[in-house]
Amino acid sequence: MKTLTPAVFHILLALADQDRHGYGIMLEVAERTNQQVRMGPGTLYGTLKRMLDGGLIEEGGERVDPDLNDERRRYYRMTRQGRRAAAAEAERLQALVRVARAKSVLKTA
Amino acid sequence: MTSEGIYRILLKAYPTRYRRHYEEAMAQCFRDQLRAADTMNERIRLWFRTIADFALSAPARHFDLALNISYANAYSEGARRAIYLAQLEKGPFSYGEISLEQLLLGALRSDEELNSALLGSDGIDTLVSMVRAWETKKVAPPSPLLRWGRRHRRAGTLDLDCKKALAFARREAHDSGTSVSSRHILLGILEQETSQAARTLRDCARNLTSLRPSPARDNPRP
Repeated sequence: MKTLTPAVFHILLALADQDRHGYGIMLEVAERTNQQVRMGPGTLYGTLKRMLDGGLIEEGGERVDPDLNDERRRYYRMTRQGRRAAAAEAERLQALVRVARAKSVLKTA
Repeated sequence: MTSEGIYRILLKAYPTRYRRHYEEAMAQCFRDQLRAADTMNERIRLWFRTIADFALSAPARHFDLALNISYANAYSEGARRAIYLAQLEKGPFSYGEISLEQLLLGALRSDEELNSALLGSDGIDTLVSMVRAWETKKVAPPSPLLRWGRRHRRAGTLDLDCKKALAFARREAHDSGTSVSSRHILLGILEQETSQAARTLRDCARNLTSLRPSPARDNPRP
């Protein structure tokens, strides 16, 4: 499989366990990366559009997020194709980590 | 003027077609970020991040749009998805261009209905393993220089057989008065009769006559 861009991979990981709206994806990515990756709305929605076009995610309707406020939000969910692409990318990274460990670039845990 | 008001002015710089679908969601997202930024320092940092994000993403969306207008007119959403999925099929470390076999997998994965009509419930897995097995038998170009050249000049582009298949698909679509669909792409692949992809599809498919698209079923050309 082709390498996914970091933004696409982060979004797929954010959607792996549950459907999320744009701001929810943003918060999940920031939290999981210890605030190292903070996507702005321009990058986030541009990437979401490309992923929708590519069939990696789909829109899951609009609803209110009770944890935030009573505004309706558009939710996104990962497709089977997206899960396959995320798994392939994770395996690719795992293989690279194995090489890094074998060459003592990365210490074994 | 409020921060959100200023951000909404910035949003006007994105393409109209893009704004139609995403403007409200982006403004809502910015509003959520503002709400979460409690102190003046955090608000200043948010504005720095937002301006950097805007400066990178607004021109990128215009560029995407310019690139996609002619492509979108000729190819249906399914066909564009097929080509994108063919790119995903390509190994990141493999040299060269996107092959006809990868285009075949992309076209089948892009249309679940067509996929199950042609191959049945688990047919795609058989086809994937056939393609993978065949790919590993491919011989790498002997010269390291040629291999380097192929990897760097052509990686990610469609190979000549794919281009021929897409040219046939465009002709078929033109004749039927529709945009190119995944069905047209599969017909284009079959047209490359001696290719491994066409042979594999002929061997695996149950009923190839269902491939011939009807104008009513496919997207009319915009």
